[in-house]
Amino acid sequence: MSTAARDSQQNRLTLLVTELFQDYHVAIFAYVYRMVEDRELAHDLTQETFLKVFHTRRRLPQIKNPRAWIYRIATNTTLNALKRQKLFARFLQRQPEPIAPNPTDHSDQRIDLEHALAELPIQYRVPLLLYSVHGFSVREVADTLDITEGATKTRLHRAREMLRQAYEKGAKDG
Amino acid sequence: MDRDRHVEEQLAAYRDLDDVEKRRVEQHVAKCAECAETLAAYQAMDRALANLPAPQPDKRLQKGFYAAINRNWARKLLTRIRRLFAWPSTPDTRHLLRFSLSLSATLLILLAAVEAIHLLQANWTVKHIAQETARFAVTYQPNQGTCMDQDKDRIVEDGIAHDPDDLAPYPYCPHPGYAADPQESEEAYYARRAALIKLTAYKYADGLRINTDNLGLTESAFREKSGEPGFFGVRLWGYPSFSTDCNVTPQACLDHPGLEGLAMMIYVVHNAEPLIPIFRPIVPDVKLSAQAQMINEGVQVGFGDEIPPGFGHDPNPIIGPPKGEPPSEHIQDEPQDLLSTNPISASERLIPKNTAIDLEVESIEQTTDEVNQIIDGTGGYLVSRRIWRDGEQPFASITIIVPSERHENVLRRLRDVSIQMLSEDTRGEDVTRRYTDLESHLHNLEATRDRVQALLDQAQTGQETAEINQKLDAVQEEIEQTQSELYTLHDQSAFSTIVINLSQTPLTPQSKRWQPGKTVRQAIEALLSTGQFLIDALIWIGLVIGPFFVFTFLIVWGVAKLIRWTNSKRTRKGQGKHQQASRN
Repeated sequence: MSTAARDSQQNRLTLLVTELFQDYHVAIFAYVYRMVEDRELAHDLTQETFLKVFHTRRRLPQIKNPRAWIYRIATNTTLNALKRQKLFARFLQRQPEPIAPNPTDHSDQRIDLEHALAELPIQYRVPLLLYSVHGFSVREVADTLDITEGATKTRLHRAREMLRQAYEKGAKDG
Repeated sequence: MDRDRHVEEQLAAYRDLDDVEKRRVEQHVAKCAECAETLAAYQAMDRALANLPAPQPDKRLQKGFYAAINRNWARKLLTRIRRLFAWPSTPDTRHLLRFSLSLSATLLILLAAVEAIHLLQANWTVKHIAQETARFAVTYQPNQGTCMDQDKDRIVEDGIAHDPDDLAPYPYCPHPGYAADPQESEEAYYARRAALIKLTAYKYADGLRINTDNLGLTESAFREKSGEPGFFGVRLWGYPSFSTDCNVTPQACLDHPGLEGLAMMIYVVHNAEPLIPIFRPIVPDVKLSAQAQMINEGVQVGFGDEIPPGFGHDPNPIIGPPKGEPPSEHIQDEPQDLLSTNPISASERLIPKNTAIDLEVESIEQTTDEVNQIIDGTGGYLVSRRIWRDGEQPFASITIIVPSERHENVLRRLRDVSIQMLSEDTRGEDVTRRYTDLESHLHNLEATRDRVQALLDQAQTGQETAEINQKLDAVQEEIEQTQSELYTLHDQSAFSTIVINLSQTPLTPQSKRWQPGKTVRQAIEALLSTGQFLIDALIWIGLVIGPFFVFTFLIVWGVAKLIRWTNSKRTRKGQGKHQQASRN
């Protein structure tokens, strides 16, 4: 490939990455935030996710589902960060940051749901977030988490049961 | 029960079920209230989760990301550099040209780096020379008198056993025939010390690439050659007395090593030629200089707590080198061959000298003032001065007489104040024999007078007395004449006459002719020299480093072979034992 062609391709890929960033950075931030429950950490991990996308942009033309690919990078990046012992301790001690109230929603119910979601173990929370919040299909969730569809359905079922129990418990205590 | 669990899982992913699965689940839900409730709850949960407000990132997330990808310059730079040196995949002239340019530029940068290191080393060496020479100058102060004449008979080492100098150890004359000057004058002593100091500086300059045709170990040579490539020169100043201020009258301190307890300063200059020939037409040489000042070791005299005077901040208080062409005639009276280990001795003979010196100067007026200063400083006299013009050009002729022992010093100082010396003619008449003869004649006349006086005392008649008186008067008259001649000869030899003819440099600047042909020739010579230098370097690398790599490779290969052979032998032994065991 000639230098000019190579430069042109690099520029195209960079442009593609910036477009992906514009399209998905808010959603990825929200996703990562729900995983780590820490705004600063969510910012860092989101930036790290998209920098990884940038550094591996040469693979973009071969990727059929860039959205799923970005979510996969975000998931792995966040899970790796959470694996560090210190972050687990912070995760257990930290309370979810309150989000700005939406006047159309019942605020008590919303906070109970957020708390219940935050209480879910990470391996159940992630598929639920992807499926219910971010609209992934079961197949997409399976591809993102590198598990079978059957395992995805099982986790979704358990996640919902746990969430329902936690939400009902929260509603009773409140 | 298993089937219900399975349905529960299907309920969790109800949205994505295919038509067949969905129908099955709906059939079950229609019959199972619990599953219907579960499905409703899941769907409500989905709606609630979907309606959760999404946490919004700060604007810094965007800024940070774009800043991070723009900071990728290092990677881009490396990529660009890699592309500059990538061998063109297609035989495209443009790519080949780019590759060649990149390679040439890299080579030039490497050569420039080598040159920079060379100049740095030369700079450090020059500084070291100045420092060490000053240290030598203040710690080694040889005795005045090249040898000591113990019995003051003015005969040193005549080879005759009765002379005590023949048998004396150092600092007396060490061996027969040694050039000695037990009556060494102060001027000659300081000049000898100054020459030794400069010679020592040259000996310290081992690490420099000096052009020995461009040495400046005398003041005149320094001024003449200080602009030449490969030049190495030394100047020194020292306080000759406590009352002199070397910052006001630096000329009085030039080439003086300084008295004990007073400061001296060394100034070293080297015009370093580039190591790589290709740079020489661009920069023929780089002037490197250093100075150092120290105080002569010895007893500090007077002044209590006052620090002896030092030198000011001006590193070179004497005016710069002369412009224009070097002098055409070589000065016969200058000390020759300073690299010789035998110092030059002064003459004890009576040789009144007359010198005519023609100098080109910047300003007749300024030089006339400087000549007056020289006369005042040396105890000389102005005999005559004449200034005139020929058209626009001024000229001057000044005649002075100076003490003979200051003759050389005065000539040197006159050369220093000029741009260039056009000619110098020194003639002397050896009147020593005549003086000696007159002395002998005077002794004889005095003896005759004494005898005649004795006869006068014994005269008995008036006529005898008159005749003897007449004789006595004649002898006395001759004595007086002889004495007068002796005084004249003594006076003549005590002072030297110097006629100074001055001409002023024309004001119109000399324009240099542009010679492109000469430039082309120099560039081609530099290119050929650089090519030879590179080929020589490749030969050195091939013959010196190449065998080293081959030798290392052979050792490593040999060791690897040995290890492999040892391992295979061990394996074979093991297999053999196993086979033996299975047979048994």
